[in-house]
Amino acid sequence: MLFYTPEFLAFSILLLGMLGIFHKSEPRKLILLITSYIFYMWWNPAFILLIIFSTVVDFLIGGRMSDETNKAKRRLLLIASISSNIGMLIFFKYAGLFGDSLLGIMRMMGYEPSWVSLNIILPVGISFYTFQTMSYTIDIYRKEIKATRSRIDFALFVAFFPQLVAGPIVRAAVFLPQLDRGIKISCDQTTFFLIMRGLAKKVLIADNLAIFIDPVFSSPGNWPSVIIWMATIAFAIQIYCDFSGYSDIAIGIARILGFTLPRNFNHPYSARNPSDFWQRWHISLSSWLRDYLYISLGGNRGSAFATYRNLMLTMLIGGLWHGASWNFVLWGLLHGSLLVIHRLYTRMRKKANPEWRAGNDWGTYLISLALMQYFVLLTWIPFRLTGFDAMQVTMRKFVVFDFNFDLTSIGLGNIAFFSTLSLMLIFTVFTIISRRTGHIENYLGQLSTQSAAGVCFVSGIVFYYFWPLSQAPFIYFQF
Amino acid sequence: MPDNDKTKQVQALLRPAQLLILIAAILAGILVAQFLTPTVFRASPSDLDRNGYLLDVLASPNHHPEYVVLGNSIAMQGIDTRLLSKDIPGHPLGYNLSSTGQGLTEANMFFTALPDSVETVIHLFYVNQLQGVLVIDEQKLNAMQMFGYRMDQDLKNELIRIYGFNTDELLNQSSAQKAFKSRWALRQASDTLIRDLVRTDRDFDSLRTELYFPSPKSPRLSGKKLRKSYVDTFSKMNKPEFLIYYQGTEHLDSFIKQVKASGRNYIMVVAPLNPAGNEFIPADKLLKATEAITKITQKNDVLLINAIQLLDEKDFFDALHPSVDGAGILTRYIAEQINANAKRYDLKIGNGGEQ
Repeated sequence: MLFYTPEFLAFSILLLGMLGIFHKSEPRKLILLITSYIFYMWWNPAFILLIIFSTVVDFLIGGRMSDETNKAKRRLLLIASISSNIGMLIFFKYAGLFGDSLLGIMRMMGYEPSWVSLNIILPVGISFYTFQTMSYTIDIYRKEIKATRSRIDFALFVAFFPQLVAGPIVRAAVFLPQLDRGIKISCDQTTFFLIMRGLAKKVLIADNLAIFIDPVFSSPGNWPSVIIWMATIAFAIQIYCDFSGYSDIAIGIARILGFTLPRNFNHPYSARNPSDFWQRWHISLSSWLRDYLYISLGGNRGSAFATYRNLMLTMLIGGLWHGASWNFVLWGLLHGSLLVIHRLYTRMRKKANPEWRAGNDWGTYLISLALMQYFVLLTWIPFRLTGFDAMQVTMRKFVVFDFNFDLTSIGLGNIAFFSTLSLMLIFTVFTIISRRTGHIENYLGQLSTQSAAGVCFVSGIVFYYFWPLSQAPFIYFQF
Repeated sequence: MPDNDKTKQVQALLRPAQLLILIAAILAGILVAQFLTPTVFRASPSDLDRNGYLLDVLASPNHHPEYVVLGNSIAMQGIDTRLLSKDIPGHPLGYNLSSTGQGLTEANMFFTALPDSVETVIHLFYVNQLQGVLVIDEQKLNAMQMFGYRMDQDLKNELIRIYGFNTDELLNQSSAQKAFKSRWALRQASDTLIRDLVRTDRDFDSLRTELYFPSPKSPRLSGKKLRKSYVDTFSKMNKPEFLIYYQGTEHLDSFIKQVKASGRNYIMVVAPLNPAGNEFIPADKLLKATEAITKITQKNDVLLINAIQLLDEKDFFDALHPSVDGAGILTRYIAEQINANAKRYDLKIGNGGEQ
């Protein structure tokens, strides 16, 4: 069930109607839990069993761990929790990849195995909710939180529908205390426009850009460098608008239900260096990887080499988190390398001059921004293209520019070239304005009802004309 | 450059009535847009504008062509009706009503909109059209609707009979549904407008409004570009699934019968193919296609002008489209064939063969 479908509208009306009948906290939580399960089951009813399994296991382990004082037993319980979650993730997400890779290696060595490729359906959102439940048991193990005694609260923490299938990944320490306050339904104008903004990012920008991107990347060899560059930039915007649009809608819906979800993006394309980028892109995942993986591996507490190794491992696993495909491993590897190179560079500069800091003047800002975003764009290529040949051709055309600007021979009629260019320009202008003056929904939230209605009227017209004829599901659903 | 969020968070809650007003305003915007779509569609430039222009011409009392040419972009660039009329006795007035990607259904729709003055339909048929299993591209169908065309029930029934499957669902959509699906007009308009400004090598006005020889008179491609054009075009045609489908032959047969039943003459011209394509498309496939076409024209006793091997490679400006010189050769050949066969087929065009 996608947020912008008529089914979701009916679902929301039904949910709000039912929540309106009950005013006490417990029945409201139960209704929210049941509707969250229904929301999830809309894709594949059988997979609800996985969520229930993960919920039961981590609730029991968390409770037991909280009561347990013996360190060894606590460690055993933690291992049990992590193993069950990672085991589930490996089976459903990575068994196919590893099976196929093993099959390929064996065939290369001249063996013909008797088994065939595994064809396992990926349960939607599995990467998000397994990471969420794991953070709960790890936090209890680290004694940062106490286990909840409410089954419903915990089940709702795992299955809360606005962020269940594509995040943001919420920590128990953030979510569970909010449940204690109860579920209060309310909507302010800012939240209303936040949801509208998310919807606009998804359907007006991301889905419209896909019309240009898909044909270019389906045959990258046919296009000159200028089109490859444009498609890569367009993809960077598409994936940002698609994912952050989903996050905006999820945060907005959660706010209506009385919950505050963490911000997931903060102008990632204004990042000046790799670590800056990861503090701005998919913040809930990068902070999860930092807190539960990088720090667990030792973080930067050991030698310089150990720090670089930890960074590389974290980013490799972060890449693999996105999908069971070697191109995501490459994506993680490239980002890991960027982080290591940046650290090496900073270390070298500080060694020469301990007072050194990156300049904050416009010239330095623009150079570092351009350099960082060049590499960000380059890394989006393996993220988008799974086929090795297509990836290699695209990267070559991206890096070695062919200076072919002949617009007459590149089939502009087939790829909606100019409207895509206009969309990218509109996105850039909005980004610069919102970066300098604040998010648009905050302004719109202050308008009078008449003015807000005027904005809604115009939005209705814009949505009508620019809602693509066919929509694609949110990209991050596949992860 | 730190983030600078200068706006204050407004926490004033929306009352239910306020929320309803905002939602109603969005819906009102959508409804107004839906209502305006046919007007917006007509006002927005697109590559389908030619269809709108041709429908306007056919509905106008000021135009009385005696014959028309139907077909796709090969006909647009391959047949000059001024030249054709000059070479035919009596010099009848002929309009070239071909348009980009005009398939059988589109040609059939234009046929049902023809004024009574039209006595002859010259149909340039591209062999690849026999591969069509879909009645029409939905966007084109919607565009015809937006330009004012209304398909009569007889044609609908005939198309449903031939194409089956979901054709009735497609053809019987309400005006509101068709308008809704035509809402891409604005996006298309921005692409079209800027492209027309940038592509000074093409005469887009001529493509939209020229009634005799809509060729944009493009310069001949050469070298790598020409080779790319060959590979792109012929490789697509030479897919293993190059098959002659029932829908293609049945619709062609039906179309010829419709033209004859209206008391008009039908003349089939098999579109010339670039000999460069021989390298890509096995001759037996083309032979099979021309045999199928011949069979249909013989069955209906209509004139078939087979121009498939008429032109040399130099007479094309790209893989498919004849150059201006190629168009001259093709047009004269059609005139010769019409003149030579006028009596045999009882053609009304050009005084029935009388000088």
